[in-house]
Formats: sequence, C-alpha cells, structure tokens
Amino acid sequence: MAALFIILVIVVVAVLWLIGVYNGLVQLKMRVKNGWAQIDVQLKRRHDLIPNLVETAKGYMKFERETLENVIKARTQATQATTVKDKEGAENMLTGALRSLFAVAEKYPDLKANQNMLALQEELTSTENKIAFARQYYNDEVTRYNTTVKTFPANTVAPALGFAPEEFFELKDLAEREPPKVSFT
Amino acid sequence: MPYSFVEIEKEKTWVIKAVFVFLLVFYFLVAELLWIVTRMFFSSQSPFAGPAQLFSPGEFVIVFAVALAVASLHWYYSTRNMIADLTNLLDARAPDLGDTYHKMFRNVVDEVSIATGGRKIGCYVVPSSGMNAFAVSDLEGNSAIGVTEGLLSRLSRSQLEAVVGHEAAHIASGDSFSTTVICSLFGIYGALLEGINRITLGRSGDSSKERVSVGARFGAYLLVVYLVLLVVKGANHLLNMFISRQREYRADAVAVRLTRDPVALSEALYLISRGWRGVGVIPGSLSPIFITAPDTDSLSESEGIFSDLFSTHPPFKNRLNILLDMAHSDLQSLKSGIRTAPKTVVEEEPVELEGLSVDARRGGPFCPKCGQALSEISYEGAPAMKCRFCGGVLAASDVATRIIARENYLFPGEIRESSEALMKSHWRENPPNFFNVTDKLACPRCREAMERGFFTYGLPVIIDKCFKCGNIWFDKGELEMLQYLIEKSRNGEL
Ligand SMILES: [Zn+2]
Ligand SMILES: [Zn+2]
Repeated sequence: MAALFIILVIVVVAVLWLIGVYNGLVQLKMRVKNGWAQIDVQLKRRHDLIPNLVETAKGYMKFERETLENVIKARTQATQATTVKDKEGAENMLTGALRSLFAVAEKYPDLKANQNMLALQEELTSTENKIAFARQYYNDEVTRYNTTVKTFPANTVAPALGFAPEEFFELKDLAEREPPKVSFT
Repeated sequence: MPYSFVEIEKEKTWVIKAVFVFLLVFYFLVAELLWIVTRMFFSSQSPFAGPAQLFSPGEFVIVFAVALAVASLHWYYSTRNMIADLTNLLDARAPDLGDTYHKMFRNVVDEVSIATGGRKIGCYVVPSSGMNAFAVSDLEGNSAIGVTEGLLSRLSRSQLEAVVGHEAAHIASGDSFSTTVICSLFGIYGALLEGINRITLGRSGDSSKERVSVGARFGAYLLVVYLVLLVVKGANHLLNMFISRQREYRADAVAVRLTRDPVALSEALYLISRGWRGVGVIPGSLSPIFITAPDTDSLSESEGIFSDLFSTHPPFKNRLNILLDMAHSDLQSLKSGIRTAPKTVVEEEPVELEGLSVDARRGGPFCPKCGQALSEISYEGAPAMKCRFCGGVLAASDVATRIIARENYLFPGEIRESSEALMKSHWRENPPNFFNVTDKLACPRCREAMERGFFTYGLPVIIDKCFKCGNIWFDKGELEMLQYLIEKSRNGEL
C-alpha cells in the first residue's frame, strides 16, 4: 500500500514536471517564432525598396546595366527562398549585389545628391538596421531556446515532445562596418 | 532582454501602490497639521491639552477620509493623460516626416523598438537647440521617446541610435513608468512654481508701473498657489530620493546590449555633457525623465551619500568610464576619435516633385514680392519654399524654429559681413516703426496681410509673419543672417 502510494506520488510529480517543461519550451519557441516573424517583415520591406532604388539609379547609371541586373536577379532569388538556410544564402547574395551597386554609385555625384536617392538610402539604411536588430533578437531567443532544449534536465524529454534545436540566422552587414568590440563583463 | 513583460507589470503595480501610499501619507500629514493649527486658532482649549485631545479617533477618521479623497483626486487627474500632459508642457511635437532629420529619428526609434522585441514606441521632437532626450510611459503601456532639435542636428546616426537605445532601456525596464508617474504627480506643479518664480523675479528688471499693479493684483492669488506648490515641490524632492542614480547606469548597460555599440553611446554622452542641455524653459523638477538633468548643478556631477540621495543623475565621468571599459577604450581616444559633422555651405536641395505636372506646380503659392511660383526646397533638412527669382524663403513658424536650432550650415563671407553691419547699425536707437507699415505683403498661403516685425527681440532681422496661418517670409539672405546671428549669440559671441 505504501509502495503504491509512493509510486503514485512519483508519477504525479513527474507529470507535473513534464507539464512545466512543456509549457516553458512552448513559451521559448513562441519567442523564437516571434523573432522570425520580425525578420520576415523587414526582409520583405527590403525587397520592396529595391525596385525603386534600381529605377532611380537607372537614369544616372546608363553604362552599368550588369550591376543593376545583378541586383534584380538577387532580389528575385531572395523573394523565392523559404527555409532559414535558403534565405540566409539568398539575402547574403543580395547584400553583395547592393554593395557593388553602391560602390559604383560613388562614381556618379549627381545620383548621390538626388533627393529621391537620399530618401531611398535612408530607408534602406533603416531597413538594414531593423534586419540587424531583428536578427539579433531572433538569435538571442534561439540561444535561450536551444540552451534549454540541449541541457539537463529538459534534454531528456525535449526530443520526445517534438522540440528540436532551431537554426541561427546570420547575415552580412550592408555597410561592412567593423564589428563593434563589446565585452559584457 | 533583461526584463520580461511579467516583471515589468509586477514592478508597475508596485510603483503604483508605493506612490499612492506616499501620496496618502503626505496628504494625511498635511491635513492633520492644518486641522491642529485651525483648532489652535478657533478653540479656547490650550493646544497643550495633551495628545488625547489632539488625536481623538473621530477626528482622525475624518482627517483620513479627507486625505484619501484628496489623494485619489490628485492621482486621478494627474495620471489620466500622462504622456500628453508632459509632452504638452515640454512643447514636444510629433515628428514632421517631410523633414529629413525627423524622418531619420522616426526610423531610428522603429529600429531600436525592434531590438526590444517589437514593442511600439511613439516619438516626439522638442523645438529646442539644447541637447537632451527623454522617455515617458503611461498606465496603459504606451510609451514615447523624445529628443531635442539640437540633439538631432548634432549627433550622428549611430550616436542618436545609442541615445534612443538608452531611452528604450528605461521604457523596457519599467523605470520610465515610475519617473513618468512621479513627474506627472509632482513635477508638473514644481514646473509651475519655477515658472512663477521666473516671471515674477525675471520681470523685476523692467520697472514699468503698470506691471507692478498687475503684479500686485495677482500677488494675492499667487501667494496661495505658491504656498501649495511649495509643499508639493517638497514632496517631489522626497520622491526623487527614491529615483536612484543606479537606473541610469543600468539603462546605459541595456542600451549597449541593444545596440552593441558602447563607443557611440559614450560619444553621445560626451557630446551631450559638453553641450547645453536646456530644453526651452524646462524646469529641473522634470529632470528624472531626461537623459541628463536639463539644468545641471554641481550636485549631479559630484559623488557621495548626499548627492546620491538627492540627485537623479550620476556624474558623466563615471558613466563614460564604464562604457569605455566595455569598448576597451579610454577618454583620450574617445575625444580624438569624435568627428564632429563638417558644416556644409548653404545649399538647399531642390525637392523633385515627381508625378506633378508643370501646370500643377504653377498653381502653388506665389512669391509675395515678385509673383513667381515658389518651389519646394529642403533647407537644412526642413521643408520650406523658395522663390528662385528673388531668393526669398517661406517657412511655417515651427519649421523656422527647427531651422534655427540646427547648426549644419557654414555661412558665406557676405552673410557674415552684412550680419555684423546690421548689428552695428543704429537699430536700437532708431527702432523701425512697425505700426504704420504701408506695403504689407500678402501671405502666399492664405492671402492675409502679413505683419512686419523683428523675428526675435534683440536681433535686428526684420521678417513678415502671417498671424492667420503662421507662415513667415524671409527676404533673400534674411534667414541665413538670422541663423548666423543666433548661432553667434548661443556661443556667447554677441
Ligand atoms: Zn520672388
Ligand atoms: Zn497665411
């Protein structure tokens, strides 16, 4: 009788613990999903800006068709990517194409002084920063989630409950600025 | 993020309870004191009849009920529209998205709000040339960040991002909520008090008889209001003791975590510490919501128990040292590394009106002097209109304020010379008579006759202003001269 009672207590405790772990993981995963949604919105904004950018640049850069076409091509690929890894590759391609566009644009002072171009550049800078911040937030949340999934005690049940580690999202900076030297001590 | 929403909510209810209890105790003590004083006046009993006489349970309950009612009313009226009340007091306005600086600020706030996980943050701009920033949050969970024009025109994009990060950290950690509540409950009244002081003391210089008699009539009212405000201000001082200086260090740290750029934040703090932080006529009693106290005294720059207790902001030196430590840098390389934005020669960018036919443009406002259609320009980033024929500029009065707060233009020699010549002219001895202007200009926007006058007292630049729609007409070179002279007087060179 006493043994049965002890087993019952152990089962109840185990079930309660399982529910706790499950709820915790669901919450963490929700934050990861939220973070990804943020990135998606900003990537879409990035894709929306590019046709305008190319259109404005076209008038000034008559002899740079190849550069402009590369940007368009990279944009098309980026809009078609679906998985995290695919998007990462396609967006990095797009960043590369945009970088060479801006490098070439340096040769055209009239284009750089164009009000439309300045406004577009501000919008693009802002969008790039938003992507960077959204990515930072997403990666932070992935780290938290993955740490929980991979460490004891949650790792004993996480795979069975259907919680697999999530992938990070890495993206090159358009501005090619050197990474800030930060130490959190 | 260091704080989750649950923790913020917990802190919020704690703040609400603590501040309300403070309010209640405060009013109870005041009411009890008043009651005792009244009894001493009106009863024949000796005031020293003993504590039993002074604190009978019945009276105690009545005094408590009065205190509760007053505290509740005070709480209710002060916290209804906290963000609107405070921003109105600061004369802060929503950003004008046609202005390049304001657009960039709006973008930067949106960017930082994403770093905090996507909470919506409103923005405001204060038309002051000082350098400061503030954050406010209300009971419903709305929050907003405000900056001055001076800050926008003198910080780089990454420095501005760092400052906005600092303010967003106050919002995300919930301490912007407690400072907003305290400023709404007490700071606003302290602000009124300081305003009265400034008017009554500041005006004593010009001894016109009329002013004295008006002053005497209001004096009686003012004395009563003044005494009440004085008591409330005392409460404000007490509450500021609870606003620890630690939260500024904490917000700096969170800002670095959000923007990953300790160098930009230390640069911004350094530039702010060297600039003038005034925000128009903003009184010190609202300083807790700002990144740095608008009227700095030696107190906030000193250390020790006394200043830790009474000052709401820590010394810049300590904040800079902590940040520079994070960036593995030092003050010397910070100073040499800061590149102040180079001043550009006056050159307004013509705004291209896409999709507008030439005919549509002809319908636009016309120059009041030569009748030509005005064209849209961007003057130091602000939207204005210019006559390409005579060089005159039309700007709304808030746009003019904005332009004057900015210091990114370098003025050509002829502007400098004509400004100096204007200052040396006998305009003080022979002031122009603005009462019988015969050639009033018609406002290009609304056709109303514009009034002529000085743009500001103390500077001889004459402008035409429409009092119906608020637009100002500057003849060729007048806006530049005004900017040049105001910049000079800001630097104490006039
Ligand atoms: Zn004209
Ligand atoms: Zn008008």
